[in-house]
Amino acid sequence: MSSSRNKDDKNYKMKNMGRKDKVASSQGAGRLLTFELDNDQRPTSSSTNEHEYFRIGSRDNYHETGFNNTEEEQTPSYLHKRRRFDLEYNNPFPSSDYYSSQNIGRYDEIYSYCNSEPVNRHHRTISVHRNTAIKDTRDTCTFRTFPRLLENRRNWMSPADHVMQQVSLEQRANNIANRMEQDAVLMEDTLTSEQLRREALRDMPQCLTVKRIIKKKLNTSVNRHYKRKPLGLYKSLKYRLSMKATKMRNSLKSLAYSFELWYNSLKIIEGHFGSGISTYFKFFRWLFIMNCLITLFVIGFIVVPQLLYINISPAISSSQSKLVIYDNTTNKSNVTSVIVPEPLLKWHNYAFQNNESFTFRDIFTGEGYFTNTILYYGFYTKDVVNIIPNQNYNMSYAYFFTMFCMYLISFIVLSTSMAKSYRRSFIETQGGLKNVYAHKIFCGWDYSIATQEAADLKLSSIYNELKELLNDSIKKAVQVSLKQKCWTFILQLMANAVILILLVGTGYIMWYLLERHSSTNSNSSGTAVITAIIINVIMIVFPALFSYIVRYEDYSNPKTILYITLIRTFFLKTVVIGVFLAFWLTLSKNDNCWETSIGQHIYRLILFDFLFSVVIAAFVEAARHCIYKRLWKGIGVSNFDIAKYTLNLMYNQTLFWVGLYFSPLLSVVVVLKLFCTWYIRRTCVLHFCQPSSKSWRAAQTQTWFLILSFISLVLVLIAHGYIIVNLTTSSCGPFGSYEYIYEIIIKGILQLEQSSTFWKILIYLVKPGTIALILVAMCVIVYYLRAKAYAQKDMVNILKNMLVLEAKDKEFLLENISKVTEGQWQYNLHEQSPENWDSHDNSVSSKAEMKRAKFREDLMEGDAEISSGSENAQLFPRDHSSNDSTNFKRNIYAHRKKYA
Amino acid sequence: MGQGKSQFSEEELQDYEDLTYFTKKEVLYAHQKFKALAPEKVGHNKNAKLPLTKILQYPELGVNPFGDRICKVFSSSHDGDCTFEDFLDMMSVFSDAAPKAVKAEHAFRIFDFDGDDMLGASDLRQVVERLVGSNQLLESEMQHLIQKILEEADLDDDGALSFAEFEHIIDKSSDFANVFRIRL
Repeated sequence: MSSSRNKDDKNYKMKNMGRKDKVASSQGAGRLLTFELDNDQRPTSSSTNEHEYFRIGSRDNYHETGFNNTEEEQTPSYLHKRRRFDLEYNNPFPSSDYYSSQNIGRYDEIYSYCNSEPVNRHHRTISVHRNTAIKDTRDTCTFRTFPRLLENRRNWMSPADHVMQQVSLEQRANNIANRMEQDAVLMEDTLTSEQLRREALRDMPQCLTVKRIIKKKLNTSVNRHYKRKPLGLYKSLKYRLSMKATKMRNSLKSLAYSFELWYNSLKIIEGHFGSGISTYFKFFRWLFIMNCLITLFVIGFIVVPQLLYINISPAISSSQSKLVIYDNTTNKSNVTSVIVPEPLLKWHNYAFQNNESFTFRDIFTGEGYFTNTILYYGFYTKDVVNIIPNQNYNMSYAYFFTMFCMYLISFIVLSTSMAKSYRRSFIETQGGLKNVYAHKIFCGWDYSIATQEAADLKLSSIYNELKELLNDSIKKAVQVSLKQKCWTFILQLMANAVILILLVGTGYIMWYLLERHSSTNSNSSGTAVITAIIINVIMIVFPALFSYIVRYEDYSNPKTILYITLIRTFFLKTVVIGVFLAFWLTLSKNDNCWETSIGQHIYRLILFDFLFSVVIAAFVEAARHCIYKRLWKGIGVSNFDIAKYTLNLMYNQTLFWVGLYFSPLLSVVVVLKLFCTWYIRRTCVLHFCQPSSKSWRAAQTQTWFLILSFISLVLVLIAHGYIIVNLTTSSCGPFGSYEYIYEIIIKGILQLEQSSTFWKILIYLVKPGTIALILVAMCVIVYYLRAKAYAQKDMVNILKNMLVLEAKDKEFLLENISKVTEGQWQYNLHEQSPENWDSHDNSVSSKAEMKRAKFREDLMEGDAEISSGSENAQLFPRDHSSNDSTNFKRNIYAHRKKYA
Repeated sequence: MGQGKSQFSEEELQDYEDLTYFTKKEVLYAHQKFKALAPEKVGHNKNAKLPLTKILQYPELGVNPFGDRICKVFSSSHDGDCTFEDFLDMMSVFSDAAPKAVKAEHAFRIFDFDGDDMLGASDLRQVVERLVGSNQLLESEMQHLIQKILEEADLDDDGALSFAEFEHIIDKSSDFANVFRIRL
């Protein structure tokens, strides 16, 4: 099978020779030029580094040698890098063993080290080699990159190349190893060098068998060379330590691999739906793990001590425990000794005597029995827990600091991942996608797809998108009239007004419901449940309404539609949570223990959200699927709407962030909820959904989701900041002994008096004037950075233009040279006949003949083509016999002299 | 996973760990997957060479329009037949840990059908033909599409994409690393 394929390929190649030549033509010309120069200077050189492309320094400044030709002509001392083909056919002095054979494709070293010329080496490096180890050494030895011979790559790759079959893997490995051995830095017996070797090998595009042989060879040669050198004590210690560290890291990695959560689910989902939908599930998993960690911390530092406290303290008589607190606080400061035993006793009764009996209804309301349990803020003690004698564990401090750390950690994790994601999808790609077509083609296929249905769907979706793109590009000329524009504008304005009204209405309804709930006496849990249900219905109906409205707004881009719906839904959720918090923070201050009340509300919201948007939604989807299968095909299979589900997830997370402070065990509830949700969603996706026919721009949308969750977290933090600074605490809970929560830092922990200097400085710092000053300074810095960014953008544009100009220069020069050599070539061409085109002969001369014939044909087609820039370059065929090349060289050389 | 352990020496595993982006466990897992393709063959010889058709039974490769190209690129004998080491190499390049540039390198080779180290018009045509599957684009549309791609990506106007140009496109695409990935 393979041989027939080879043959086909070969034939294909023969037929396409002309075209391919055209394809690589301009470089061909450039190559010959540089070669001529090179030979003049150092006729015996065996320059082994040949590069079409090479990079200097940073990743973005790569040049092509094509552009460099002009430069080379001006600076003849430049060490040239050329493709090997020129050497093979043109180099009159094939001196090195490297060129001992005359066949193309015999050499397949990937790495070539220029060992003959120590100076001025510019290599094309690929970004693989931009890793740190290499960077380090680059500083010291100016060159530590592994140039890969792109040209050679084709030789060891191409199955059609008959020569290839003769080179065994060992031979290939030997060649590469020999090249690598000549590099001193790479072959040292140090750690860096070893790491360098490993990474170079790992990133090498060779097959693993070859790599292993090379590795073995290199290791033996390293050992041979450095056997006698004893290792210093410090060095050996360092070596051993870092070996240990590497091993540890590897075993950790492998541990993480074996415990990767929901690995199989993700793999199945990816196989069925591609990477788009799996981003939702990955986001889900990420949130789940984060919440799990939060839960662990909260349970460890708050819940467990509280439980211990309850179980121990009833044994101790209440007067004793009072005494402990009293002593403790008096020892610490005078301020907190204001605590009088009387309310404390009351609180004790309040906390430990749970009068309510458990009813089933309480699970849904979160009230009744649960009110005075460990679930809510109000239950936690402000006492000092001393489980171990003489070791005091102050619950209020613990509560405060654990919560503080949890929020801080969430904030840091979210902001860094947002920044990373933003960087990846917006900055590194320079503000989103520009190369639409190339992107569609090269990144179109999702390699993780593993089922035939999904593959078929993907193929047709790619087809449709390409069609759409092509149609758009053809139709683009149609101008939108002013009237139409106005109409669209008015439509959009109206839609926005409607949505604004809806949002305000939602806010009002919520306020009304909450008010009714608080005006009726507190144990009427019916209104509470109704409030939660109504809010959830709003949360389900309105987003659907929004996506209905947006259809009539004439947004041309589906991406805009997605983002607009996204932002509107986000606003809806902000309004719901905002009104909710605002109500409780303004009206309920006189409530007995308002923190617990808020906690209960959040609990209800989270629970009903689970019932409505997860359980009921799953049933609806299942029913729809049944109808589709059995009764009516017209209903269609439901698509998995990633935006909707992700927003739902974020809503849930925001509620959690709001509620965590008021109800530490809410984290457990949320984790359980997410755990169930995962399986429900997974089942829904795999059984009742089909992937959406539109492809999902995963990376950027993911970034948007992260940004939105970050904003919601910031809003929640602001709310909490307000609570901490501006709201008087109720008598219950761990902060009952302070009037404001922030006092716990100032009076409790830092133990500041009103008169101390630090206090004064603090007061001074929080004055509006100082804050304004800081804000202004930050604005100035932001402005400065932005200006700098713009300047760099301009610079990039200038450099891009320069690149284009250079390319034009190159074309111009090539054109001139080709004109000059025209006569000579025509003379040569007429000697050859085009009859033996299809003769299946692999010899070099027949290939050259073919080229020439093709070339003559081109010439005959007219002068227009000859003078049309880059195509001209085919005047210089890639491979021709030595006779031709000498003629040709002589020719160019003569002209160069003339010009000089 | 314990079953595969007997087939590899510690040294081999260490080699694989050093030379791929996998941990030892993942290497063993990969071998399990490889073994599942042809249990009797691989049972005898852990590094047995499986023919292209067998390799294409791996679900992700089977439905991939470029499946045979992928096998050829990674095959050490260049005919699409893969040994375990070739397979491991393939999975390592498609794993999450592999850097974008390595992925780009292999993607380039997959798309380079004629092996001339340039993505010329004929290569692009084949890529598009495979991507649209049974649906056919009109000839004029195809021409237009190829021209558009070259307009975007071909910086030096030579009518073909070199690796550097290809990598430039890939660098700017945030989705590439997401998409060019097969979960082991």
